[in-house]
Amino acid sequence: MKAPLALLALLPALNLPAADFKLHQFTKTQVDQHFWSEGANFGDFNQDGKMDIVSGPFWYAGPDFKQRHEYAPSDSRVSSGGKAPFKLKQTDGSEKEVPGFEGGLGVNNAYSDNFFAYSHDFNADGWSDILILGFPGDASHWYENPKGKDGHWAKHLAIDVTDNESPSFVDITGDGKPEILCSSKGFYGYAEPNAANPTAPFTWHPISPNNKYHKFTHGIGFGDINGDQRIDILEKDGWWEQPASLAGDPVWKFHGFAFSPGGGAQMFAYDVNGDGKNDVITSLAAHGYGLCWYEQVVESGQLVFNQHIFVNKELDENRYGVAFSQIHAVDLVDMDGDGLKDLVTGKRFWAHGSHGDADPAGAAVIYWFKLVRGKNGEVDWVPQLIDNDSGVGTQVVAKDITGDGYPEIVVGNKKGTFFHAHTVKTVSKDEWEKAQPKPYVKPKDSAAGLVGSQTTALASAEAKPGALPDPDGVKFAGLTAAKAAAIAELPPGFKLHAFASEPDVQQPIAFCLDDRGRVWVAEGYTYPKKAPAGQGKDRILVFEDTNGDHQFDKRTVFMEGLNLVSGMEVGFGGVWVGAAPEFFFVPVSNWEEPKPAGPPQLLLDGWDEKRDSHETLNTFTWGPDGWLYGLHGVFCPSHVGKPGTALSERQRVDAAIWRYHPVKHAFEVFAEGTSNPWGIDFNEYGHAFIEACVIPHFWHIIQGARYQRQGGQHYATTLDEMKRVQKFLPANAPQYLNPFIYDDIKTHGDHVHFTGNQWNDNDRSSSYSLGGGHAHAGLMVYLGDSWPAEYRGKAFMNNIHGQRLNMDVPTRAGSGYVGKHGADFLNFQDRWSQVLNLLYDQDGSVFMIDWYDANQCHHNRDDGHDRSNGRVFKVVYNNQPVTRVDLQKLSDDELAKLQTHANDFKARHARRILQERASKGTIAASARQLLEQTATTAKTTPDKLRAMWTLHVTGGLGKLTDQALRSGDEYVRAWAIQLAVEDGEASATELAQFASMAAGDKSPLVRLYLASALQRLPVGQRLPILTALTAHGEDASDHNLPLMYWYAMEPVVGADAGNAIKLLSDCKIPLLRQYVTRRMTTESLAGTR
Amino acid sequence: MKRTLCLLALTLLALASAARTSHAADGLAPLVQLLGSSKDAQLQLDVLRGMSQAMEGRAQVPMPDGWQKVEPALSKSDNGEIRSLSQTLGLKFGSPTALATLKATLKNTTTGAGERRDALKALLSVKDAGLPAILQALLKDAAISGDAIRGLAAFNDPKTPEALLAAYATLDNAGKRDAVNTLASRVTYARPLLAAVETGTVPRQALTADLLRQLRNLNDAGVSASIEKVWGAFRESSADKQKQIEKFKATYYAGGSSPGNASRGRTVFNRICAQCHTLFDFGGKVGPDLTGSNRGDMDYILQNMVDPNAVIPNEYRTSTFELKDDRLITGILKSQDNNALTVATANELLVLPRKDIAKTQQSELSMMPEGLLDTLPEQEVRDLIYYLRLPNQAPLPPQ
Repeated sequence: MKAPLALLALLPALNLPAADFKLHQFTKTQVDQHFWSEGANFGDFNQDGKMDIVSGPFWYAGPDFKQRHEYAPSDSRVSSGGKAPFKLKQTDGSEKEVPGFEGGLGVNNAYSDNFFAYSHDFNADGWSDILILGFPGDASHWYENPKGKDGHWAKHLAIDVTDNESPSFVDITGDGKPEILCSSKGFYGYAEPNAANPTAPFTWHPISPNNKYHKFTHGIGFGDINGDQRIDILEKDGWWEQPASLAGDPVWKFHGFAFSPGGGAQMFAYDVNGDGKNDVITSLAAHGYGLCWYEQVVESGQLVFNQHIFVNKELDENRYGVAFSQIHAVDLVDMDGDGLKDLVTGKRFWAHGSHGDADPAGAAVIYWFKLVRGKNGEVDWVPQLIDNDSGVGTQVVAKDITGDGYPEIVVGNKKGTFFHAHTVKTVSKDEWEKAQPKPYVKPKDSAAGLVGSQTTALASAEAKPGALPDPDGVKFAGLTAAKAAAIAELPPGFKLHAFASEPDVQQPIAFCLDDRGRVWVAEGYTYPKKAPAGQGKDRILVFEDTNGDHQFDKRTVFMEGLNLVSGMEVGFGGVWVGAAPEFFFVPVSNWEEPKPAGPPQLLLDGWDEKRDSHETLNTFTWGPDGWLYGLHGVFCPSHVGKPGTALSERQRVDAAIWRYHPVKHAFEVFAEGTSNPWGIDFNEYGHAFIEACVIPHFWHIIQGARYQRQGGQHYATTLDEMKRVQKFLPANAPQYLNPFIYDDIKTHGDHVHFTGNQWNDNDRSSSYSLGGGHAHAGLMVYLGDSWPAEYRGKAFMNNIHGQRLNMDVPTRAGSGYVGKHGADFLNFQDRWSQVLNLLYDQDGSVFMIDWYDANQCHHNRDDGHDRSNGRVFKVVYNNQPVTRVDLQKLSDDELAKLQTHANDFKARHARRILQERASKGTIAASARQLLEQTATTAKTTPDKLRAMWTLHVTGGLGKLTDQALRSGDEYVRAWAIQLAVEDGEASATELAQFASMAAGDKSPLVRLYLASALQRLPVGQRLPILTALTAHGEDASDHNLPLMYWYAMEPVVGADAGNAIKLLSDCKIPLLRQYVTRRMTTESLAGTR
Repeated sequence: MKRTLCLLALTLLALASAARTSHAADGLAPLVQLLGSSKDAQLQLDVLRGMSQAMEGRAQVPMPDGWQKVEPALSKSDNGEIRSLSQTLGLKFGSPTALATLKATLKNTTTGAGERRDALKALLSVKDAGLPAILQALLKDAAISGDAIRGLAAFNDPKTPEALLAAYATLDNAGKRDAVNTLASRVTYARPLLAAVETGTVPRQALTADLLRQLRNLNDAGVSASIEKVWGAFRESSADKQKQIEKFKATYYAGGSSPGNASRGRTVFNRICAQCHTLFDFGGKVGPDLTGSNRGDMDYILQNMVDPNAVIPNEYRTSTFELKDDRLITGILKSQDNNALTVATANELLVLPRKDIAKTQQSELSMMPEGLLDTLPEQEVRDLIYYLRLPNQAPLPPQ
């Protein structure tokens, strides 16, 4: 295929008559220098017989396009991603208003409100009207030509929601009249203009089920795939077969095939190789690289498509050495009159702005690719450069407007609006040959073969002949930190900064932010194997940005010689560190230049360091209640206790959410189960969420809950429980198991981030489009104050195989939450990216640590990781400045006031500082009074809760408990319960109140907290509360309650058969009646065989 | 001396059990009473389910007071599950009618498959001696044949190999897998199985790597010799896994520009992977779901297939369970209590009464067998890798 000989045989020119040696020449006219549209078109709007150009709110009169007419307002345009005109900051600091949207003339990324333009006479009055398809997801309108009169044209709604990034206006139904082909509100379909009443909205005809197709889905097209003379619809994941009749809008038959997992642009069905069957042409990733055609082959009666990529990222992937990015607009038109359709396409200049462009420095090229067919079905696409400083938008239109048979081209994009006139010159054979592109010969120095300045280091396997293209279209790997920050895709207004990178930081495995917003990073060089004593190589570093440029300028090495460090948090005058098998505290001497004040104080040991060391104790996070929370994975068998504790008195820990009290020095398993969680955060109601790998990823963490495990049997989560159930275990079984966890709580997510799952419409989408895969790390519920409000309360987590941040939406449902799928937030487009955790800071900006490695999975090889790299990135919205803080310097009253601050970073740090002060004595009475006032009278629930938590950690809620248990706010009641029984005791009054709430409280959330609280109370006190709870028949269908009731109930059933039969008779939840019977039967058969 | 102590301990244990027997039945009496007094079918179902779950892994339990009175009414319930659970319990309580009723249910082709399956499960739990003959007769009854084949593994019956091999060609793919699994369950079945492979009655490729391992675990010289004759000597742990990975990579690339066919690859996956792993919503749950894994990366795929024991959590380690009736079971121990072990094998979840187990041995090896790719022709290696890397499901090849 790449041999020059084969190539020569393909080129058709060698035996042409002399007159047929024609050179195609293009002359560019910049019709407008401002950014009005990413789609322009031709139409004769003034009926002078000359084609005009429409782009944005203007039409430009042909044939010279100099006279501009405004048919819609140009001084106040707004899209979902920008506005026109825009303000541009000058070098002297002043602002200048610039026409159009912010594009190539500006600095920030913006999006226009015109992605596609068409001319069509909608009202059959003989005058061409204008149809504009706008920002994906927005409404589309047509503008009624006022028959040559001046002024703005009447605007009519065409369709309220136009989804997909490559809709078009084509004839789908075969009636000779065009429709809008797009997706809308989750369906694929087409919108048909209303002939009888042209100003009425178009009629929507869905052709698919509601598969929740996203507005930013890339790639859609049309053509007759199966030769039945009906137009089928193409999309990135397959094609929809048009049925014989469209009456009643039937669902078309879907044929899955991954044409472009990343999503391309306009797609076409066309017989490329002349074998009588229509092939499929598509770009592979509209924001990445790749253009290909799929050869249709029929194998054993089945349609099969063989992929032929002819333009990609590397020069040697095209026969003529042509490579460019962002093929976001394609047209299929016969450019040279040879009867074969050719392709017109190019680079969509700055599609996502200068930072979101896959190759921002690459020339904005536009090409036509001449289709050449060989004798034996060979196909060549010969590139012909049209221009190298304009590119395409989301639409490129080639149309013969002069009548010479050679199409002209019009484009709108962030560089302006361009017209390319097309002329043809007959030349000599020599001259012609000289002008043809030459086969590309790869230079010996392979680096020279790379595009632009990108350094890539894709696995060697990928480069071998016969290798599949990267299945997900991820084109980057092995980038510098600056480059990685530049190519990451973020929503408009966000910027990614490389805060620190190698060699200043390497192998970042854990991090936290201190009370000054400084970034503490633990470097894990020792991972994956514990080093011999004294030979650990891990370090803790402190980074500070003193000049506010989002990059560190001060770096302190706090500690060296750590061994297998995996978790870290700052507070109480020092650093809490996890380095299996130990958990210890290192006091800090001087907070200006942090240094250890003395040797580490060992607090706990017994954490497993031998098995799956990538899931040992991790992601330490201060909880709202003053405990330090941490996670632990399923395949690390740990037995945790204070140093010197006998094995029989140690707490078994594998898959767990655990917590440690910094003052009481108590250790607890807070909830048990899942797989290898590595990321926990709390929302504004103090509810925790974690992510997991392999098993479903989204979990709402409930005190005392048992969750689905990736493997292994549930274990006793307290020593009391362990000793109580041991008699049901044989002597040769592990003595920490609990055989009475009959079932566990399943995921709280309603989706997973990969394909093939029941919730995700089997085979509809590739994993790439659903989030990237099943491996996650890090979790942040954003409660900062500088990002747009839509992000508040959302759960962000890194998807490792998807090299991006997924965003899930925790949504209240029943007693807890369901996690819904939000749009991915940030895509690194880089295989090596591996963010392990993320946190928001005092300004609401977000830090994250990136382990950065080619290897994405744990294995036990010392040589399995590149030790020389690592990054700390920072995501900043709207140029949010850096403020310098030191919350330790604030008074008690000032800290108490911060409990109502919009940025939870400040509330959390302030609360912990007050807790520190209270642990050493007391805090100011005025601060407590302020908090009591906030807890009872604050306007919002989160403010009340924050004050309650702060009171709790600075001496307790006291008499407020009773009041809070009777609050009208379910969250306040729920938390009052949890805080009241923190020490495993409740007063008689409280017990009576719990029983009354169990019977009468309308809130399933409150009942959930009662169930959690019961597990902490003595078994003998539980019966009345349990009886009342389990009489709630409506809880049978709740996601959490039946099992949470069971976990509290099991010991009661085991302890007394009389109570058990009474519980069984009164219980209205069938599952629990079954479990009570099962437990009673086991109890009575114990000892028999 | 040690032996004496042991005997003494056993005697004490037996005495303790005997002492508790009547007490045990007493404990169930209130539940039985509730079953009789309640007219609420849902409550009856809840109680019956709870009792029968607690008795899994037990063959016999003393009949509790009152059972004889409630059983007839429950056996006539409109609810099929109440009927079958009450018979299951009746069987364990030694009810004279339950055995006959359950056998009749199992044989009755007009009864729903679910109820027949419950009946079989109950009969298996008491290891009724009449079962093998009944099951051998059900091998062509598509509604229940899979369960019948798996159930036959519980008995050492000389007619079973012959019956399974005779039916083999008529079974669907899952049935064939079950048949081979049952035939590999004990030495007396494995010999005729290997003879059938040599004559071609059972194709060589039906013995996938996990089955070869199970056969080797039988630890029988004759069986091992037959395996070696057909497959050559086995290297359980090849010294240089990296070399093997490179070899399979080279095999893949030798396929040129179109190394594999996704549809054929899917067939290979269904044959050798799907009984334990799910991909695109299809397959078993013994191993992790592969759909969201890093399978786009060929190194990842090959590392896990060639060297599955490189990183292996306890929870995926295999154990072998040698039963007192000479059956050998290879699987993952999922949970346990005083009474029974729950074991996931490649083709079913088994509850093994502790008293039936002669010997348990946990291996250092993953349930994922080594040498999976070694048994495949080169083109199938390419097809499988090609398929595993695809982002989307491929169509099955036309039949």
